[in-house]
Parts: sequence; structure tokens; C-alpha cells
Amino acid sequence: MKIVYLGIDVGSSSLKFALMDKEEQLVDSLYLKNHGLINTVKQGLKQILNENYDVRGVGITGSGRKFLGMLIGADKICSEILAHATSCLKYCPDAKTIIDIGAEDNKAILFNDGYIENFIMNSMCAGGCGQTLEMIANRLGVQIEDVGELACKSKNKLNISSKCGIFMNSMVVSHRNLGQSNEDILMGVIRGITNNYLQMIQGMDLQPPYVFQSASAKNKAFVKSFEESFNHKVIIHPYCDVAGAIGMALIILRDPPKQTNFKGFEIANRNYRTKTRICQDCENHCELNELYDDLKLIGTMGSRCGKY
Amino acid sequence: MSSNFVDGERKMKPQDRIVTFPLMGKKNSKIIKDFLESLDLKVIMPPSTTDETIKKGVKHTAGMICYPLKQTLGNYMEALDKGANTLLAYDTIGLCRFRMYNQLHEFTLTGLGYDFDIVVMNPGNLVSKLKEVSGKNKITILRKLYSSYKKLKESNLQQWSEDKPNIGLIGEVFCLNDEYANQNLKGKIRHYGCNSFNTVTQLDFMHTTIPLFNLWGLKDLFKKDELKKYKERAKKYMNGWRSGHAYENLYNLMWLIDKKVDGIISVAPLSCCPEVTIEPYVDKICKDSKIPLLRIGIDENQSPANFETRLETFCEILKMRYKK
Repeated sequence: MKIVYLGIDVGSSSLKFALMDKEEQLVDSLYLKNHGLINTVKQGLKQILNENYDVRGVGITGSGRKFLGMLIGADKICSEILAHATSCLKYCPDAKTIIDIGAEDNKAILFNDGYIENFIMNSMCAGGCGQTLEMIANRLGVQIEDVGELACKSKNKLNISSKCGIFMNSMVVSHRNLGQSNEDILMGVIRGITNNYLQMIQGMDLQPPYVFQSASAKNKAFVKSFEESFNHKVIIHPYCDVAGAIGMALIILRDPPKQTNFKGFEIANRNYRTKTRICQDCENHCELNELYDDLKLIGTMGSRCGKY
Repeated sequence: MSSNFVDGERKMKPQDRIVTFPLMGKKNSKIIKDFLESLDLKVIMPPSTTDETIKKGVKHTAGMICYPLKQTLGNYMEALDKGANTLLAYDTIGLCRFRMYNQLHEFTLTGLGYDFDIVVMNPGNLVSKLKEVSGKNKITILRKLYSSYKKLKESNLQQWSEDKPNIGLIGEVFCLNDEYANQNLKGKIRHYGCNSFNTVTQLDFMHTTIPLFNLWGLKDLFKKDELKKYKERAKKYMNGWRSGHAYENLYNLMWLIDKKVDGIISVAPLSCCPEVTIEPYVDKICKDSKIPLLRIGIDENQSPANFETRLETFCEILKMRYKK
């Protein structure tokens, strides 16, 4: 049996799994679109784990980390910025800046001597993130995987601003009705997203080497657009789409738990369901999210007072 | 219309009044309630702010207005539903949108068919308005005000931590002091192992906007004003422009940095005019002194996951830097 550590990154549009061994080598990884958390996790665990692996620790990161931590029994729950930073330093030790375009959040992480110096994340609105591009690609009838290839063929520069997804969409419509090609429109959107990102990081001192992580880094047009704006080469993380999950696996294997809480394979065969109720215990009236394993209550989330 | 109208104008007797006021922080609101009750007024506090409150407020306000208006409107509506008939409102005579709050509240609530009297106090007429509402004489009011002021001063005491990273809080007063609006920011900072130091407390707000409280602070005048030199330095950026907490935030920020703060969190409503104006200055000051800065925009659409991720990471980074 091979000793492995599992890292899971629960993003807003996808789930990433990474298995690492004791020597910090990647054993296996998996990228799944998030079609409902419970089912996707069951499916992912079925695909990535088998009897040959002995899971000694599980770390979870991403926006759904708390809920999933409760569901599968996590040993460590950590924010995605730390996970991404750990992962980046493993493969590109002298990195100074991480660029991350997620589905619903854009991040920039700055390093100084191998320590996180500063970070920034889009605050209120997910306009100008990866999801915006996917939405527009869908509208143009292009699969998100093909966008990079197609957009690189663009000949004309279009001006599309991307501060707001809805305004961006209406600009796309007007460009399309002027007979512009899909390639030009998609490249325009990607440049718009890049500009939006640059606006977010204004005032921060970004230094090369730049490392591009997240699944968007697989999109060549994005890389091209960033290289144009920075006027510098952008390094792509070797496992860019599962970088966060790898980081989490690294965090857990560098500080392994004595006994893992991981519930193992059985999760795939259990019947989980959630229920929401309004708590009446105090005046806050929080909306609680309860997780049941058949009839047994496993955990509750969402209270403001910290009771659950 | 009700019998509250006399000669076309509203003249309500103190004993008929059931007063209410919008909430801003649990402790502070309790002190205000105690103060009003000590003037023998009937007080109905709005129920604690919940998602329902916000829904009500959002429904009847413009989408791009700052968040405190939405929450306070919701508070007023719930208090009026519970039977209050007099709204106490405050006007700083400043330059930010807060000045318009009382008029917007009155306009919206009247349009919704509520029957109420709104009493707008400002720094100049605070005591005389309180006299009008409660029917007590000015000396009693001043005495009660002073004891509440002392209570407030006690509850606003804060400590600078010696063994944990200190996070300085700057920004807009409502969002910093209301636990609902800022998703219990201070509690969460404590939970993540840091210490928070809020520079925009209700007490500061009263000191800077109400001359009366400054008077009671007179004895502090003989102590050397610690902030004086920072006030001078802040004038470089902003020539004493009194708008919201823009100017105050700048000198507080410089004071915090000289005090060797480990990180700064700036909390403001999404479209807050004064805070957006000083954004580049705050960025520059923090960048020059290499202090990490986290900016949190407050709005009704806030997702807890995003908020917690950023706060948790920020605290982790500070702890790492602190150990180094």
C-alpha cells in the first residue's frame, strides 16, 4: 500500500483533487466541474482513490472548504491563498508574483524571500473573472476549452471593458451585430478581463517572475494577453489547474496528523442530504445549514454567534 | 390622520412618545437606550438586525446607496411595526451622504404609509431637541448625557496587544461598529489569533462631530494631544476637509503606523464617497511603510466565504511576519 496525502480544492465552478506521496511527488490529480458538491465529491473520490492507497491525511481548501471538511472529515482546512502559495513555491521557488484567475475570484499573491508579502482578491463582484469568459463563450457557441486556441487567431483589437459582466455582455452583443468575428470578440473579452485584473492590482508592486496558476492558465490567449500587458514572460505552473489542491496536499504532508479523520471510501456509498432551518435560539435568526448522514446529524453551519 | 397633528403641525406630548433609533453595535445601542430611558421616555429598540431587516431596507432604497442607509431603514421599519412613533435621527452637518439620511428615511417611510414623527438632532441643537422630546430641563439632560458618555468611554476601551499581531481598523464608523454589518469582524480577528484596534469608535465619532463632548474632554486638552502632529501631517493630503471619516482616517492611519501596527484593515460601504476618495492616499501610505492592507467593502450581497478567506489569510500572513 502506498502512503498518500490528499488535497482537495473546492472552487466555485470546479473541484480539484491531488494525491501526493511522502517524497512530495504528485501521484495523481483530477479536475472535475462542480455539479453539486456532494455528488461531485463522491464521483471524484471514486475515481482517484483505490485499495492501493493508504490516505494518511486530508487537507481541504477553497470556498466550500468548511462544508466539505465536515462531510469527508478533514485534518486541516486552509484558505486557498496559502495553498496556492505553497504549491507555487514547490515548483517555482523564486516566484515573486502569482496570478490566479478563478471562476469567481481573481487573486494576486506577492512573495518576498519565500514569504507571502501581500495579496489581493476581488472584493464584492465576480465581474471580470473566469466565469464571465465562460458565459460569453457559451453565448457565442464556443466551448470554454477551445477559447484559447480560437482567440489566439484574432487579427483585430477590440475594446471591451470588463468591470461589469452585464455591460460586457451587452458590448459583446453590439460587436457581434456589427459583424465582428468570434475570435476578435473573445480576444477582446480576454484583454478586458486582463485589464480588469490589472486595475485590481494597481498600487501593488508586481515583480517578475510571474507564475500563472488556476485552470485559466491553460488558456493560451490569457497567457498571451498577460505577457502583452506585463511585457515580460509569464511562467505557467506545471499543474496549473490543480495547483491549489497540490498546495493543500503539501501543507498536510509537511505537518501530518497523528491519526487522520478521513472517513474513507465509504463516503461514496453513504446517503448525505442537507436541510436548512432558521435558528430561533436568539434574535439573530440565522439560516442554518444542517448536514445529515441518513438520519444522523453530522454538522451544522451558518450561525453568526458561533454556537454551531 | 391621527390626533398627533395640531394646527397642521405635529405636537406630540413627551408621555405619548415612543421613541426608537437605528442600531449601531449592540453595546452602544444599549447605552443609548439606557440614556433615553433615564429621561423617562418610552423606548422601543428595533429588534436585532437580521436578514429580514436587510431585505426590507434594500427593497425600499436605491441600489447604489451606501449600505448603512439600507440597514437603518430596515431597523426603523421594524421598530415602527412594533409600535414606535418617534424616530430619533442624527445629522452631523458633514459633507457626506449621511446628511441626507434623515430626509431619505422620512421620505421613504412616509411613502410607505407609516405615521411617525422624526426628530433630527444636530451638533448645535442636540440638547434642545432632547428637551423637546423628553420634556426634561436642560440640566437634567446634560447630567444624564454625561453619565452615558462616561459609560460609553468605558465600553470603548481598547488594548494594544504585546504578544499578538495588532491590526488597526480604519474606515466608516457604522460598518466598523455594527457587528451585523461587518460580520463580527473583531470577533473573527480574535478567533484567527490577532488583536484588533479600532480607531473609529462611536466615542471618536462623537468627539469629532459634537462640540459638547469635546468640552467634556477638556481635561484631556492639558495632556499633550497625541494626534496633533499627525493631524498636521494629514493636512498634506487633505486640507482638513471634514467629510465622513476621510481626514480622521488619514491621521489615525499615520498614528497607527508610527505605533508599529502589523496590518491595516479598511472597512467601508461599497460606494462610500469619503473612503473611496482617500483610497489612493491610504494605498500610498501603507505601501511606503510596507504595512499590509486589506480592504473590505460592505454591502448586502456579501458572501461569508469570500470574507472569511480574505480575513483568515490576512491574519495568517500577519502571524508569519510577526514571528519573523
